Amino acid sequence: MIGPRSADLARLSATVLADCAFLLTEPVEVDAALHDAVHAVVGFSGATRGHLMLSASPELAVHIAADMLGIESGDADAAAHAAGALAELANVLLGMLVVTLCDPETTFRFGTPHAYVGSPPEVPHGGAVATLASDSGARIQVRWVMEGDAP
Amino acid sequence: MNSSSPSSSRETRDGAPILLRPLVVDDSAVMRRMVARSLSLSGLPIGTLYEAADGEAALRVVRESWIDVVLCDVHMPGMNGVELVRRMSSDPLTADVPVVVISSDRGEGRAAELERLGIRGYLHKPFQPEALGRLVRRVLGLGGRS
Repeated sequence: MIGPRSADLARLSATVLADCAFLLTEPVEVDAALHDAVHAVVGFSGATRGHLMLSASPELAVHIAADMLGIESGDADAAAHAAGALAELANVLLGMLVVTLCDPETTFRFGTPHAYVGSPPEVPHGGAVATLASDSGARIQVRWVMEGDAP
Repeated sequence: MNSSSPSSSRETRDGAPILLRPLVVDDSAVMRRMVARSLSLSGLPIGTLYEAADGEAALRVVRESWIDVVLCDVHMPGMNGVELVRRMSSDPLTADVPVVVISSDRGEGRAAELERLGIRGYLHKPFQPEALGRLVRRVLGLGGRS
């Protein structure tokens, strides 16, 4: 079951993916972390603290990078920028989520997004998770954890 | 060095369009390329496009080169966009260079803070090339395609 915050995550993530990477997605009910994936983590602080993690298969990350850069997926630049593209998507998504889920009048400080390849980095459990699937079935997952979230 | 605003006619004597020299400031190489591509797609006459990955590098560029408009992010390691705008506005060499902020930060407080510092426009990520083109044209007082 997708809860209210997960529904926000799914809706906003789908919007950002469509606007930034021309990637159309639908929510699917998968909460388990994606392994052997590219992960981008970005933190924020202000009235509250937390972080957002965006995960995608390496193939999908390359596809997203290619669309963001306006090049073919087979272009070496797409692979070279796959992690950076996912990090930038996490940054854009964080900006939309913070004003949706928190007080829009509050000023937040965003951290620098960091990308990892392989197993997901250690992040606190809990929070909200949304998993989206592209037309081809490739999955991209968003995990949003705020300070105080508990499993 | 920038000592005045770009020409309002935006044409050379023989009628050729003056090519703009924007500076794109973002710690993300992907976003710098996306902004550059958007500028191109917007139909703006782009000449030399400068890039910087943080505020410190951007300050060097605006002090050493003619820049028509600075397009900068807010959240960057090292000198961030807020400090860059503050430093530019307090330096007579760079105070007249228009700054447009392109950021994922949608907080009302952040935009108000930057407007007080003198930015000329604020565009949220994600954005469409047309929106960037319209904003740059407005900021530079250019007519033409919108």
